[in-house]
Amino acid sequence: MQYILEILPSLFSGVVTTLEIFALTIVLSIPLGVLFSLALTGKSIIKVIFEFYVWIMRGTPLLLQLIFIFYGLPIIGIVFPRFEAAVIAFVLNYAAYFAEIFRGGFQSIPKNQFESAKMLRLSRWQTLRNIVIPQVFKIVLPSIGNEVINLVKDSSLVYVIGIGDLLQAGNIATARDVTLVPLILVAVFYLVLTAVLTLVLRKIEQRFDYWR
Amino acid sequence: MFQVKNLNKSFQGKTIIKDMNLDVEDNEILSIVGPSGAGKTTLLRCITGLEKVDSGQFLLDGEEIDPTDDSKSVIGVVFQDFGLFPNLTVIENIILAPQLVLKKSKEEALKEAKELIDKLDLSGKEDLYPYQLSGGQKQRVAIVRTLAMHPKIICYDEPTSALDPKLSEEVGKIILDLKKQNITQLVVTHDITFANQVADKVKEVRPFKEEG
Repeated sequence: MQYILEILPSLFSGVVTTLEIFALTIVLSIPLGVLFSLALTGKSIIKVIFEFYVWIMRGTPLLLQLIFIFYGLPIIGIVFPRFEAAVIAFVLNYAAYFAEIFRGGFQSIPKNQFESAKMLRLSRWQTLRNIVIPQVFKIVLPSIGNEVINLVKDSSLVYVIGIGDLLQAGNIATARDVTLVPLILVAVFYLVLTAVLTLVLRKIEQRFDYWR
Repeated sequence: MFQVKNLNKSFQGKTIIKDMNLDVEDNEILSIVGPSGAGKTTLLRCITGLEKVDSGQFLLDGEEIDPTDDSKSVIGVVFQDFGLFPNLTVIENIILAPQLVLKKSKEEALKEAKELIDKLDLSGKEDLYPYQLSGGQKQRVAIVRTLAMHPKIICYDEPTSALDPKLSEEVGKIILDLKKQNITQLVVTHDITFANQVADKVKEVRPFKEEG
């Protein structure tokens, strides 16, 4: 017990870092994902560019992308501080996944919704804002939830570029004190985080249950 | 008076509509009947601007109109599957376009919607979502939503296809009732009985066969 109290502060500061990366990634990558998905449903060269981007982001390990941005890019003169490098890598990676999820959502909106809107003379933006996006949001919520939970755990990858997150804090304590306790505590922290998020996501889904 | 002159429409070289002419007086109801595949729905989609025509003219009171021009469309449609917006309540479905497109104040839009709701026997349904309505109620909401945009012409695509005989009779009454309001109505249907019940004129279309 005494030992747990001793290592808790370092674990908590690790949690703060984990949550910072998590929150920044969510706040930035979801709107980006919506924008990118619109590009993916377009027709022009832009669509090809974004398909290539999604292919790269989903086709290579996130770990590699982190290493590439933090250790690789400085070789050609592009230097990001650790934390910024991590956030950039996560946002670019998750925006690609969100873009694909939203693309699927947009494509599942029945054609009659667009035609009704057109006959009522709503503009493209009015149609998106009032009719399409609210419907897409409801459709994609469960898939978004999955990614959100994944992100909590994926954030532990930042150890590779030397950021002191939750996992890093536990790992250091375990190596120093030769005990399993820190790692078990780390697991408990992740479980609590994902449990809270699961509840929040379920509440959000329930709030959108008023129409079908 | 609404006129269609020398309308031609083909899809990938297959002629659907060939040199079609229509004349409909104000307050008149024209039924367009014919078997499946005769191009009834295509004709309606051309008139409403949802499909581009290959050639032909649309005249309203002698003046040429372009149905694909959303900025001053005078044509409303009641779709076969109604095309209500599932994320909006009945009243929101109705007042959305009057507010956003006709720039009416909410009070004004509500007041007008209320009158139409009462007339089409939808009182008490204002705050329900489309999934909570029966087929006949959905159709009446779709009609009210179209009327709220003050169209000069209303087109109905197979208005009786989802209704039992008693409800068909009711929608027939609604259509006949709207005659008094200076609205030209076009009813596409394969239901000859219904066509004869409501129409002043019946136009028969047949599947177009290439010569030779």
